[in-house]
Amino acid sequence: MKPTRRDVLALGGGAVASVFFTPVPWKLLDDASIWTQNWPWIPQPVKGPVEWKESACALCPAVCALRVKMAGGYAVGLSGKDGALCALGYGAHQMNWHPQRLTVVLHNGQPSTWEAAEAAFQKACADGPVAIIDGRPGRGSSQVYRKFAEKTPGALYAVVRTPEEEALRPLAALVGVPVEQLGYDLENTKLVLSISAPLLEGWDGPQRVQRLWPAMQIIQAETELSRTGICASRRVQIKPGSEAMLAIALAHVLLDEKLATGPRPATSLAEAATLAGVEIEEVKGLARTLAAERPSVVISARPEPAVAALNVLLGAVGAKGGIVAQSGAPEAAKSMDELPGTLRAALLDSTVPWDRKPAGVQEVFRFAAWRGGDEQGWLLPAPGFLEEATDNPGTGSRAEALLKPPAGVKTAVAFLGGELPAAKLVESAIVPLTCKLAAWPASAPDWQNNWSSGWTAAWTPAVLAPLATKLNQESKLMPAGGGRRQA
Amino acid sequence: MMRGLCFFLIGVAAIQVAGWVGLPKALYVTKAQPLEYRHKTHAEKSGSAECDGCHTLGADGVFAGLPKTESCAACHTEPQGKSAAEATLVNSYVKTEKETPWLVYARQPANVRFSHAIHTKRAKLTCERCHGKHGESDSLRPYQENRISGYSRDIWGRSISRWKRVANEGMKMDDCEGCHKEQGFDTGCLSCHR
Repeated sequence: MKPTRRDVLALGGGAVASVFFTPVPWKLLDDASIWTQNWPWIPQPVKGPVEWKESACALCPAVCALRVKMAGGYAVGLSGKDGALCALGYGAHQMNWHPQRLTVVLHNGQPSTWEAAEAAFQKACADGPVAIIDGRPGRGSSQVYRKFAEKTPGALYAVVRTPEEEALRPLAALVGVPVEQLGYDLENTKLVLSISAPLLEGWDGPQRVQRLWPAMQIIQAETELSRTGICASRRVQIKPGSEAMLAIALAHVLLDEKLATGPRPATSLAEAATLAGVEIEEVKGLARTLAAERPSVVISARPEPAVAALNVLLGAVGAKGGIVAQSGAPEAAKSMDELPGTLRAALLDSTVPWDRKPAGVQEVFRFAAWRGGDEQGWLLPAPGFLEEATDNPGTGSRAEALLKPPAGVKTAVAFLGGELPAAKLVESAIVPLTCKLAAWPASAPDWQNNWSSGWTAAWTPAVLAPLATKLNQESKLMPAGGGRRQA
Repeated sequence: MMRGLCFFLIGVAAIQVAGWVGLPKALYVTKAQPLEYRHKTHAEKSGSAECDGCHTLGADGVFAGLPKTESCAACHTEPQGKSAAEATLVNSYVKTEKETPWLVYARQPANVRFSHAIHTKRAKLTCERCHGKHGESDSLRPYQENRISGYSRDIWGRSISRWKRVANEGMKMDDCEGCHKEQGFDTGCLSCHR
């Protein structure tokens, strides 16, 4: 029997009609959809033994303790050991894979070599003066930088002060203690009057105030509504640049109502309240609350002598829940902003924020794990997240590196030919601190005209250097128009 | 007319045979495990038939995965017999301190998060509920890998139709959802896909 065309069509029709009653289309569709998840160019976590290790996050000065999920020797997940992490911290292990990861030496944006960078740095050292800038003093690497500066003629060691430290500078001058030793005892504070300080937006590390709030009451006096202002139990609107005037007005009320004793500011209560843009009755209420809710402390966003004096009047200096001094703090060091403006070169550690460098420096040697800003000078690839030992300056503890850095990456310590000293636990204790205000201090120069361009805008990059890097990177990855949908 | 119907039915039958019999054979490739392993023998010699004697949960409830070679080395620093598997274990893995590349029957995609602790401790499920009588086996089953998806046949289940599956057959999302529905535990996407 010879099959005809009609027979073939009948056979095909039967096959087609029947195929939907077999698992073929459904199973193949299911498998094909899974197959699309496993295309070779889609990155997959490495398969391997899963283990949890402990480490510390080096993204910001808070140095949060981490639990790191490792699979096959790679970090695949992070969680906080003592609580939650910040949003950046939870995904920080992915930053090592960022397209802007730096693995080659760049000179003015062009690829170069470590040998060329070392030769250029040696020449700069010979010409002098050079500065080694440390973004996070008190670490093992900080000791190496200090030693290098001591033994190299014309070399200087300087640190980048955080905004929190800068704000305490006037008080450090009043009490005669290095600013490195001063700190806020917020864990015992009942009430904080924040004068424009972004307490809930990363001030002193992303976690500290968020853990204490709302048990710790916050009153926010500020010129522009901030997230801290929204969350604060009370918000006081003040005029731009009038932080000192608010402090002076509060001091007057404390003295008038015999809630404190001390010298009286030259500016009158009425004048100070007018300049601050606050009603006198509101100032009085605020001062009474500060006195009633002790231990209370006043925190300003910038170095303001009047705020330091107000804290002395309040009795917050050297008292529980106020501003205290601790032994075991990093040695006093010169601030980067105090360096001479005639530096031949500056070596910037990878913890130095991208927007900071000494003024007037001729040649910059910046260590960074990711590209993220000005590429003038030398850009030297540094180990990324968990790829180098992380020191906690507060405790002196050290978390060893969990991941192997890529080829071509070097630490600033190795670049300077040093070796990390062994970690040594810090024995810190509260140091008695007394301060008697002889006269009301002169206010800092008026910053009314540049208040928004400087301090407030620089806060996040200054506190969270890698966050600033990431934000910068993401902005570079965005399409033209800043990623906003065009109308 | 009858002749056309006959060819139609032949087409139907051919595709049914191909779909139900031919597809499973063509779709899965059988792979050998790197070593022979006898759960039953190990349970007898160790005196413990409990799964978590070797497949441990950490103190925090995290599943530690398959035992590492160092666990095997506790007894197998030298060959315990003359079998080829024993020699391979000692020479290729224990002495070289390499991990045995087991083919895992229950491996899930990377976008799935599964907590053994929640299921065994809180929901009191037995290991057999999902893994069957694997722990009592005297030899490892052949590992069948899907040529397209790359996952084990155990994920889909032995039956190609997934019809009338037994309780421990299949580890697809449908199976998780079905069991959760039976037990009255509703879950959202982010419970497993984080």
